[in-house]
Amino acid sequence: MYNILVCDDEKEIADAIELYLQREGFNILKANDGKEALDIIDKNVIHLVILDIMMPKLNGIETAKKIREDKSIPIIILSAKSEDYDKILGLNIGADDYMTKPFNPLELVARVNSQIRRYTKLGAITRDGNDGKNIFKTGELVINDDTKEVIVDGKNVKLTPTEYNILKFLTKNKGKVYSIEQIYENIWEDEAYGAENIIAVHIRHIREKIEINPKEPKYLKVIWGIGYKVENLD
Amino acid sequence: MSNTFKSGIKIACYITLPILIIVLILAIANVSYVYSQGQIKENEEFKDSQSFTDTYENYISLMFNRVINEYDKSWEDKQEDVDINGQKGMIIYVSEEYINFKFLIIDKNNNIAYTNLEHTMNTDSIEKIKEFLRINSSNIYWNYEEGLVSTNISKLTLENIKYKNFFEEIEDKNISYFSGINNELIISDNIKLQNIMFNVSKNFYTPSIVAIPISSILIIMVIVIGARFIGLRDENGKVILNWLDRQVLFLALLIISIIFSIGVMFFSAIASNDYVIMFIFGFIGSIIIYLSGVLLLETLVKRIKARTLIKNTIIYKFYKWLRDGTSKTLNRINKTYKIVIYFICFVIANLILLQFNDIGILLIIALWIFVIYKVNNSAIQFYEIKDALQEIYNGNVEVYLNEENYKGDLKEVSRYVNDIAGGFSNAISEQLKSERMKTELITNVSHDIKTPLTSIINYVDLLEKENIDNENIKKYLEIIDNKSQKLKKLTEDLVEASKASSGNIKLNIERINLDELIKQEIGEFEDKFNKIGLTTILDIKDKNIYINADGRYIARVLDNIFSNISKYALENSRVYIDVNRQNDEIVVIFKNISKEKLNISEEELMQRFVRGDESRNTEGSGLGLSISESLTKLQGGEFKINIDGDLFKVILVFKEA
Repeated sequence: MYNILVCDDEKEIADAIELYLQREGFNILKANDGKEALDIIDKNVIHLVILDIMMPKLNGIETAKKIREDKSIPIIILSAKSEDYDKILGLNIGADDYMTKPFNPLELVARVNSQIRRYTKLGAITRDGNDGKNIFKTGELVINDDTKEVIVDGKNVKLTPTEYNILKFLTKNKGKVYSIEQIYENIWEDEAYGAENIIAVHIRHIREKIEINPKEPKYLKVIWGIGYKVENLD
Repeated sequence: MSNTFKSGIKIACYITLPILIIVLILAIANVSYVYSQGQIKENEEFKDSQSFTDTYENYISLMFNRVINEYDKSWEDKQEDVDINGQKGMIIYVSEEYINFKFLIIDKNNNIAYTNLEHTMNTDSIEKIKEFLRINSSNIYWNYEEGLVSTNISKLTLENIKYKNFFEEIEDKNISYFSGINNELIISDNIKLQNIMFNVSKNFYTPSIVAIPISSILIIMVIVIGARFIGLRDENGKVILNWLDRQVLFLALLIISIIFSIGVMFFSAIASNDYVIMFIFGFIGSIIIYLSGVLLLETLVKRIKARTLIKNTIIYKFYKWLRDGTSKTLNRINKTYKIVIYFICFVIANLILLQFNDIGILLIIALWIFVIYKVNNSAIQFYEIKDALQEIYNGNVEVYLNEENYKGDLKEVSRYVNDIAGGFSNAISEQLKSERMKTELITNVSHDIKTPLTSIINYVDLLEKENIDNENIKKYLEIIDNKSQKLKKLTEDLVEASKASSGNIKLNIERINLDELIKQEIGEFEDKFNKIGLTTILDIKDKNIYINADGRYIARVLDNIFSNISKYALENSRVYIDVNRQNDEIVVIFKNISKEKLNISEEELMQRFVRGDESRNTEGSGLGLSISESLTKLQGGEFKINIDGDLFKVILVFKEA
């Protein structure tokens, strides 16, 4: 049983989050402001914190900083502030994820699960693999080329062979940007498979399968007008 | 440095200066005196000095002339019945007692002896007088008797004087001449003065030689230092000028020279015989002359420091009066005729100058160069102003003309240009400011809306997950869900629209491959399009078409366009995307067939909150087109829409990179 601290001055929001996460089997503790949150973290074993930014007494940014002084538990910021600036600030001071309000409950649950898995089973997957020769990995995305398995946040993801090849190619060359044409040439080599347009569609599908929010992908990113890349998260 | 301190130093300089000047004058006087004496030798005595010799010689002849030729013998004190060379004669005591030169002149032809000694018991006979002279004038004496000169003055021996007029006269008249200088110089006369000067010169010659250069250098130094502290400045840094400094230079110089003349007048009064009066007058005269010098130095230095030395002269004032007068007269003449008058003057000047030969030609060339220079200058200024106006016309209001660079009417014009540019610039910055404030307001309000909205959305979602049998409740919940999602989208779009329209967005411009971009975007929408049977037909001739844009925002624009197509396009129709190069521009045209009748103009459609369907029952905020247009403009492109019956076109124009 994992303990999740939900910190929001809007009581109803905290209650709703509690309802969603309880269904997933988490134990929820609630705080109304940053000070209270720090108190609870001191007295309990907490596995993840969901933090609002605009709160009385101690705001979310300050609270996150305080938490980071001695703890490495995952922090998800959940705020009505949606400016790029706020997101960058939040992630820079040590938050692991940033979600904007109003949020999609399913997405929140997925992100919580992802963070919890990463936090509690860090490195577990690599132990499963063989010598790691045919394992391609970035962050929590692992591709085992021997078993043709794709695992994201510890969960197996089913991809079509084409999708698998595209993802494998990009993960193998993580961090590098490839245009549609380059991907096409690399996947099909000299085969005349058909319209290369289809690559963009495949990538959209891969994102839908491996990303929590396909519009804000974590792994497979669209570099508009230039190409695609798998983010190097290691 | 405080003004008191400066004044202190200045006054110290003015006190030191006269002392140094006196030292210099004395030193120069001393040295020149020594030189006039023909270089005093180391062991030379007073009696052998040139000036003494001259004076003594002068006395000999002067006294001789007086006693023999001038005196009224009856008037003088006499001692009669004295023995002169064994004959009866008399001694006359002439009243020339007030000199240190004592004499006894014996006229043997007339048996009369003359002396300037006092008539006492000790001088009532020739022998006594001789004795007196011998004792009293033993240091310096000169005697002549029967063709023989006995003297201890080296320059007055017989050898030296035998051809001089006075001596020949003495010889002719059978005269015996006994003379000498008092051993004690009890009387203040020429001799005593010369003796003092001789001793002073002799003793102070070396110091004087040294003092001349040293005191000269010191005087220059003191003047330079003093000059540095002349001209106090007020709190504004302006030199404080007194009455004299404010006068025209000529008048100031006149006043100073009058003061100087008064000082000189005092000196000329020195001709008096009274030493006290001489001293007082000399002293006052020196002070006045010195004062005039100080005044001259002060006023010149202050004028230089205040930069009025030239401006405050009669010639400059006259020149200014002439210049201002001319320009005033010209100003009164209608400006239109000014240029005509200039031209006529120019022609007349040419005609006049033609009357002179070589110089005239040279002057004409100079005149032409001057006129061409002036005309060219005006033309340059005119075109500068024109360029500035063009800049403003093109929208660059950050234009500034330096008014100092322009003359006459153009100066005025340049000021107007600056004012107009400034006005525009202000208006624009005001507008930007208000736009920014509007954006801030919208952003803040949207934060405040989002918090309750979050609860609404979440609890509607939670309600929907409850087991509800009542179909109506389910239907109502769906509506609430739908509308709250719309509200969410609206708040987000509102912030984006206000940011995009106020330009409050940081762009990260890159070289974007249009082919790649459009294919990526098609990929994103492929599934949606497939669902309603839309087929995309991309017509792009060249895969290497690049534009400069921010990938994220250009994608946002395409996203809006495709999203609109997916909402409003007729099912099972085709969507055409044509990419063309027109000159240096890239034109992208998106064409689709609207499923609803578009009875609305392009302009109306571009307005915020206007949507293609009047019933407003589709999703969307109505801000999409407006956001797209603003974002495209921000990235330097053009966003146009075109409605032709049911054919709906979006046209994007970008410069090719």
